[in-house]
Amino acid sequence: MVLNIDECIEHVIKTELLDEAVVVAICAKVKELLVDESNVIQLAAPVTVVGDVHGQFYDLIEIFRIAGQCPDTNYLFLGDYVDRGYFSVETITLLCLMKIRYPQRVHLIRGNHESRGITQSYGFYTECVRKYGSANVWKSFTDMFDYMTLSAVIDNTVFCVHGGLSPSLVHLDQIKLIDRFREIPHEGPMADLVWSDPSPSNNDFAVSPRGAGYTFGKRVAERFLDVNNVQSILRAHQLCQNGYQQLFGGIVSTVWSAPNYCYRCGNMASVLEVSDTGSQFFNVFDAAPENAKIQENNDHYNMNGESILPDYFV
Amino acid sequence: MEAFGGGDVGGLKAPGTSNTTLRKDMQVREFEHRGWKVTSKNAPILSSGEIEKLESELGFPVPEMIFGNNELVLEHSSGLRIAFNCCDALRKVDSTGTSGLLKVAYADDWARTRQDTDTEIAKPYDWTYTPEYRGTWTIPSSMQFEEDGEDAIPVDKLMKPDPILFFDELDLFEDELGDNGTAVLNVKIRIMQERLLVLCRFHLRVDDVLFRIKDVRIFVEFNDNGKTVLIKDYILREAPYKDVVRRIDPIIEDLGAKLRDVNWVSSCMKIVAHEVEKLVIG
Repeated sequence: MVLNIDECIEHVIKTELLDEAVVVAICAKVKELLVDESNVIQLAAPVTVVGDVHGQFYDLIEIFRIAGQCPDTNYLFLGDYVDRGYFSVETITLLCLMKIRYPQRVHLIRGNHESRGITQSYGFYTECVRKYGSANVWKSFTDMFDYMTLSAVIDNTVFCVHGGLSPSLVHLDQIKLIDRFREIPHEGPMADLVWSDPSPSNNDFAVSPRGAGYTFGKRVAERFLDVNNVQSILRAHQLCQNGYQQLFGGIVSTVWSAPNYCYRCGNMASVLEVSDTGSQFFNVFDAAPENAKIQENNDHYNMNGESILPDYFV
Repeated sequence: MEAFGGGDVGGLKAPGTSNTTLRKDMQVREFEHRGWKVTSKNAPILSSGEIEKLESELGFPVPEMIFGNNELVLEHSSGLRIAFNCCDALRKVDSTGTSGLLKVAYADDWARTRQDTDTEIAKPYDWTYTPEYRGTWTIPSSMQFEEDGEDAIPVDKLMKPDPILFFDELDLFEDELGDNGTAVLNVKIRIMQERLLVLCRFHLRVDDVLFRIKDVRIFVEFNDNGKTVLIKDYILREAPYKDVVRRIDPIIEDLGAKLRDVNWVSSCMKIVAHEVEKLVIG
């Protein structure tokens, strides 16, 4: 199938659904681009880094308005494109189209939600079936997720990942050796990269009381920077009311890009702009005005699209 | 941008502020009816500074979506006060892990495959955030709860389509348990001419492990033979995960959507504990 990418982008921006066959072809094309990427992609500034978007399509469009259109601005997305918001299909479709259109200017790394298991629990699967009448596009998207890379380094200075560090990965070269072309496993270094969180309560790694998963402390972060000769760690994965948070004296930062998360958290969002001189600026933004109509609907329909008013709960 | 807060001047929006109007600042709604004053506060999630302060008090990390400034308050002219808020609920979560902690389904596999055997375990706490919380009560000394096995909440009266004079629903906290399920605490209220109902629900899903729902209901009949009568009803339901999933046909049904339908899940679960108490308010 010959894809007219610019035409597809025009449709998606108007939240018009593309045909199923077109989506399948888009996913196939993106896979071809992703398969050649290293597990640690090397990027040059200037680049704008985006954290979790979670299907909040109007806020993604707002990011391009605020931080610049592609290809004028280079983008690195840190994962969690789908689930929770109402427009996961539109969000991931647009990002795939941008990747195809500007493969060297748009980079997509994998978050914990780019997974078959997680998307069945948190909304993307349901949305695909509702919008397309079958799970075919969900299958195409989730197969494509298996090709997404795991991390990036900007100007040999900023290490970027969705979640955080792993006790099995001391050196960047160890990340490069991971066989990433698979569903995200529950355990092991690939899981740690998309799941682990920084924690000020421990200096080293600590095992979660859940019985799986790590948090990492300041000493671990300092050692990682030292061994790999980079200056800071940039990650997403955790909601912050101000849109970003800096920890451990600024060597670890969280960037969060879904304002008013789930259309009800009332939080700000940000993107991190890394300039060619190496300076960093968190560009903070609020929910896009187009969300107003969703909020109106939100009072009337639940996540499964069922009417919930009047609420004669018992 | 804050300097322009509000942004509406004579119906005209100040330039550049249109997108600030969506952000929820604290919204306070008040409603008075039959000797009761109900206040609902709906605010954004806590800031990192507020979270730090709360975590140092609680001694464990707070849920990822933390509506620490949300609160539902019911005040009666007698001095009776009932509040539902996030921070008081979290104070009733086991912060030491002494109650016996659940583990995620794949914890054993996870432990077996890791190579860093000397890594410390973070301080235990109930990571499911199950609160032993039935509201924050201030009861005048003249009143006393009575155990009440007889008078359950009269569901038939609540099934009547009486006009709802006031309705609100507040999120208190929510956490995805590191993608192992979900833990949600919320509270809602509806006030009709003759009665009101509050439901504070904690609902927990730990994937491949269990479901748990804790419902605290407050029912008030404003004129029950000349008296105002309040019923507090607590129900704990639990079910193994597989027992609920077994009722879903994954070929024709969307498993995820079905498991997010808390009312449906609740109907599949056994009642583990049920306590009813009555308070006569003059």
